[in-house]
Amino acid sequence: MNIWKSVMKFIYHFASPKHFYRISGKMIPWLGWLAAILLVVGSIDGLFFAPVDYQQGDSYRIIFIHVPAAWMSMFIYMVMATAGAIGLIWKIKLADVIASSSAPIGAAFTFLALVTGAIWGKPMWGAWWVWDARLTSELILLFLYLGYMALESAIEDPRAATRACAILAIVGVINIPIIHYSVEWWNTLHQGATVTKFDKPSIHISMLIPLLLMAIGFKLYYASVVLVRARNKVLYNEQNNRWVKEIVQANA
Amino acid sequence: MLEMLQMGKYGAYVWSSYGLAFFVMGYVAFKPLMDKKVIFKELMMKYRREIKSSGTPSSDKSEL
Repeated sequence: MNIWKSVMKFIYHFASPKHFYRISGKMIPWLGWLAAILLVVGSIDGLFFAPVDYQQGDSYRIIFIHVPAAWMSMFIYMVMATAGAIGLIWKIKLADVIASSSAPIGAAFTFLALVTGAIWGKPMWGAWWVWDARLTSELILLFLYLGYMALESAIEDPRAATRACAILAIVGVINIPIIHYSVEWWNTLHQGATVTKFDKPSIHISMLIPLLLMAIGFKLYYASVVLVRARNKVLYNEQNNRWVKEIVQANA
Repeated sequence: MLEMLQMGKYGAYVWSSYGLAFFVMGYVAFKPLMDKKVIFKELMMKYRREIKSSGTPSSDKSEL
């Protein structure tokens, strides 16, 4: 019991706005620059050094954007729903801030996954869009993100908005396994998983390396951007506290 | 070199995907950095107003 108490005390201390603001400020440049380097190296490797696909030619190079973006769209949603649940249960304000800071970034990645998928689909399938389970469930994910953001701005009382958004995010989690398994459960044009499966990845190492570089780059990009967004919100929410005044006045 | 950039016959598809990703991710990263400046400015002005309304005017009156 005592251990539990001290663990919670540690979490509350770490999640205190002032502490978070200080620590995250130190982390952002590292995360941001590392993300930039990985994205540049991954793009160059994917565009120019990875071999041409025997079936799809050079068009497959869209994979290095499309697949990491699609992974991020689901990953960020899970972060958002988990943070929302933590905020709802333990009343940790920082978790709510992380959840709402994540939504626009997740929406952007979902949009990218959909649009790059369409751009890839046109030359390979002969269609920009088909209403199959994978594409439709990913489109629903975009609407979940947009719905979350609309709900947040529609409810005036910030506490009520946070609760409603957390509940929406948690209920929407049902869509995530549907997206992942859609290619197995239903007949589709979309190809199955090549990396995220229990078997060995069915992609050659020369194509897997840039894919993973991009995937890690996207994760670090998200980490740095969500922290910048969260810091902005923390600063605004805590504007009547002395430590915020001191930071703002020191920067003037 | 030019051949590499043409991506077989798929140049338009590949480059538009990468270009779009560049602009979308650039905007998403850049926007909060701009917001930060706006918040600092806004809060700075608010704190200045607070100092003015609580400090100087009342002391002026007391001198009169």
